[in-house]
Amino acid sequence: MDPLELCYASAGELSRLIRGREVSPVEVIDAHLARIEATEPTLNSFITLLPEHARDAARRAESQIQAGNYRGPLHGIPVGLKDLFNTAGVRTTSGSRILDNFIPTEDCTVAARFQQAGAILLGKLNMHQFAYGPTGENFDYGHMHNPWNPELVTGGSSGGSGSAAAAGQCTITMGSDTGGSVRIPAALCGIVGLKPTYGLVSRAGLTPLSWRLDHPGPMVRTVEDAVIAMNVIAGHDPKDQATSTREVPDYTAALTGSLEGLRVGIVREYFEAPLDSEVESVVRAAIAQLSEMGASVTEVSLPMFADAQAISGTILMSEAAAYHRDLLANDGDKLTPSVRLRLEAGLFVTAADYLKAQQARARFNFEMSQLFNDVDLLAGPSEPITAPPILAQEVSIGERTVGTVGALTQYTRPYNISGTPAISVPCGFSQSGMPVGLQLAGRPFDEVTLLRAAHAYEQATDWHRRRPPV
Amino acid sequence: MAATRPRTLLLHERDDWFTLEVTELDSDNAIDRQTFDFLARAAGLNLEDTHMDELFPYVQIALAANEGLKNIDITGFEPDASFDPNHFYQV
Repeated sequence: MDPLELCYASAGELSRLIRGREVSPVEVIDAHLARIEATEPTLNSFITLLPEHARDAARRAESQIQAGNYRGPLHGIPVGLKDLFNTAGVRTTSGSRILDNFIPTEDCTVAARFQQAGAILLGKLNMHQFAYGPTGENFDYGHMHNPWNPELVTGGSSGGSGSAAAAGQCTITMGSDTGGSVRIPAALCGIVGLKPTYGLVSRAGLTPLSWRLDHPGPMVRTVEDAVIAMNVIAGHDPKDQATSTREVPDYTAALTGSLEGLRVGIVREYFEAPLDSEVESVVRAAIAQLSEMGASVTEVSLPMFADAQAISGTILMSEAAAYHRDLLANDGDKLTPSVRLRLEAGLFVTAADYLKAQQARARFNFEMSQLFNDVDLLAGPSEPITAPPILAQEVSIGERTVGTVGALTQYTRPYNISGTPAISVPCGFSQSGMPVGLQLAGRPFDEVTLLRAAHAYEQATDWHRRRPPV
Repeated sequence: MAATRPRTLLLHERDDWFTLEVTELDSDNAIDRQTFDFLARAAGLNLEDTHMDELFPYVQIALAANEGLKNIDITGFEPDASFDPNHFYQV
């Protein structure tokens, strides 16, 4: 099989080939390492690449499978982890030179579950420093570059995860999402990004940004691959007190291809916010397609959408500052200036405002829950714009000029507040050839319905089959 | 908090996490320099660092961007420190 085809094959396709012994894990890993060599440092997706580790693991996987010990759909599949997922014996920098020599002694739970399932770690992926930024710029390890146009951002903070999956460097990558950091790079790089329900995937062994807003999630090229990843990583973890003890379903049940009977709500306020007209057209066409496929689409209202920034901003600032307080005191001058400012600003939020933000979060979540009395899913744009230029601080949306950072998080933050699952799936391209994402959101712990809709839409379109020019 | 150095800030003055729209904003109610210095000292920051002159306006912007919290009616809603996303749902 052509090596490039192996790199763009989904985990579902690769697993069928590997299980049938039509392709060996060694071939798969070699193809991906060649792809990485051909596309780095153009994309700069990786902070640490592990070629020897990966080749050794591939040879072991090959032997195991030949001996009849096939572990499941992730056996022999190349994965990459955002560099805030602790990996035993492999440095984990959180995107900062301050941690350049930090080598964890223990895997985070996600890495351990991937390894148990036979997945092969190719490397640690570039990210916005300490996950505190949505653009994918990094002054310590170099900026991440969008595979569809390397002059543009990947989005962040899990930018390397976005570019690596989009460019066929890895089959499955993982990101973490505090204000959109899985869904933003997924939308801007043209891949699938799932932020699962808060408490469904363990955060144990991840560098926190905000304890009550952080959600680890898969970033992949197909919805089926999100299902494959979730079937391995979801579920209770005694090391993470926030994880739910509820039984985890087999997410494969979501892959029905049907939207029949689903009720989809379109949040009116999303289309009253700054929204690029070209992006709006693409997203409205995708929503129309959901309707044509059998979903009933109605308009709903979430007046507190306008409060999402103040609520999540206050919680995020406080918690990020609390976690990084010692680092600020000892190594603040070694931080990227913008990240240092963001972290230090949280030291000035009062306890009263932090608690008020939690009260407001409760009201926000109550209002969100009321929407789901009438609909099964919410749909809208993942992003109001396509990828902006690297280091652009402002973007124009129609006649309005808005801050890049605020714009990139405007549609994603609400679901970090609610903790409800949300996914970005590719739904088209701009005239300039940049991807646009459709964001779907569901009830807590109802990933099956969310993935079902995303998969059905994906299968009716070919956006996910397109490849970037890099 | 009374402002000792009132000024008008532009929300896009710098790359910051907190702001959406480029709007003129009166910073009088955010935080004054005296209060800033007091809290910075309490937080263990070095007030002699010239970085403080950059941090002060940034904090003004960041806190002002979250001012909207004051207008949210939270009657009947308690802080949810152990966040449960399923709290309001009948699933």
